[in-house]
Amino acid sequence: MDVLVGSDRSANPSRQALWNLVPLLVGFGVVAILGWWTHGLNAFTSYSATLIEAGPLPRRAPPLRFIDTTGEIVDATRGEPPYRLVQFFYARCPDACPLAMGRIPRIEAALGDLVPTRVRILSLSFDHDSPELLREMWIAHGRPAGWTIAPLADSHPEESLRRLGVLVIRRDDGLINHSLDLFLLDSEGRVRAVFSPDDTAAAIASAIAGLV
Amino acid sequence: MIGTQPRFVVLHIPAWLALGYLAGLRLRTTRAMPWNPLGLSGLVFCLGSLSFWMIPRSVDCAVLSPWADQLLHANLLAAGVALASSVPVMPFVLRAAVSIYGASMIFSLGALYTHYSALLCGTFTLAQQKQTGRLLYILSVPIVIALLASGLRTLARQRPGTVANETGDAAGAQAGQRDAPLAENGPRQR
Repeated sequence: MDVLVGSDRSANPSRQALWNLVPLLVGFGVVAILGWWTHGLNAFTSYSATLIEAGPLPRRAPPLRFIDTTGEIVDATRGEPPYRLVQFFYARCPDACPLAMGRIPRIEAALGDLVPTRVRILSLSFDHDSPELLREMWIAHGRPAGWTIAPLADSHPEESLRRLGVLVIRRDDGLINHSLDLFLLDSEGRVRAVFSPDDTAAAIASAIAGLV
Repeated sequence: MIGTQPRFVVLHIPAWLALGYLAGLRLRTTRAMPWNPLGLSGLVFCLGSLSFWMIPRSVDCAVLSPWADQLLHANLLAAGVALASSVPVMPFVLRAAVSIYGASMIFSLGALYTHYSALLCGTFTLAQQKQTGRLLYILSVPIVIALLASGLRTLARQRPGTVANETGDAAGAQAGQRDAPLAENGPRQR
């Protein structure tokens, strides 16, 4: 077995004083790398990192073309009403998407008269779900006037969504992990606010009312 | 080993760290390194590396990118080597503090993965996340017991008169020398 017999500390105290700085330097290095990787300790998940890397608010949103209920291709970043509250989902999602969509009626109710005159709510599928299937979902939710459930027209929307701040990871087993944030877009195609899945419907409605 | 989150967190990361540690034991020099006073340099590097690879974003990156996966292997091997060269020169108090911190981190990570309802790692599933949390919970119990046993054994070894022992425990020797004038001279216990 090895036997440690001490260090150079006693042999050369001034040199050892310099060596004593090494742990500090290593510590600074560790903190610097962690700080860089997490965007200043603000992004610990890939989702939050994607959101931060998309840029500060307000920022220009990429074109988000979707197939409307009439079959027409519409850009979610333009048109009327002046504000759109956008979320992304896929129809066969087993858990997260139904939960995220389940709070939309509460947000709509909390927004009151702002929907659909000032705000339109859009739930956009990025998984090639058929318009018929999504229309059935819309009917199942009670045919809300200010809430559109539609598929994105782009067959590979991952890059556009990433520029918006949405991460989409397709797993080998068919599941798709993705950001569940809600994005408020204005009439100039800018992202004005982003709401996390943890925000309550009342808080989201209050923030939107303050912006629109 | 990176197909599921439980395997990644509970097997993959500890396995590479353990391999590095074993390699470090084999490579260890017979002199304490001057750049590693009290084992702090190696300890900080090891804890920093582990912290980095425990970040969900890093886990995703390692699963999605072969380059990041190779970086993980190399980094954890180096962290294991650094830990192996640091542990023998760390004072007992520091070793105890780090061990308690490690055990509490495993327990906390278990609590986070078990109870957080949103998906933290984008490459795994919520079911795997909760399974990982439960495994970490379970693992934390034997780890705490092992730490207690190890701590008590080390305390018993550090009786007065102890010098550098057969396991190369210089810290124990230093502690024994420091405490010698304050304690009774008694038989050395094993």
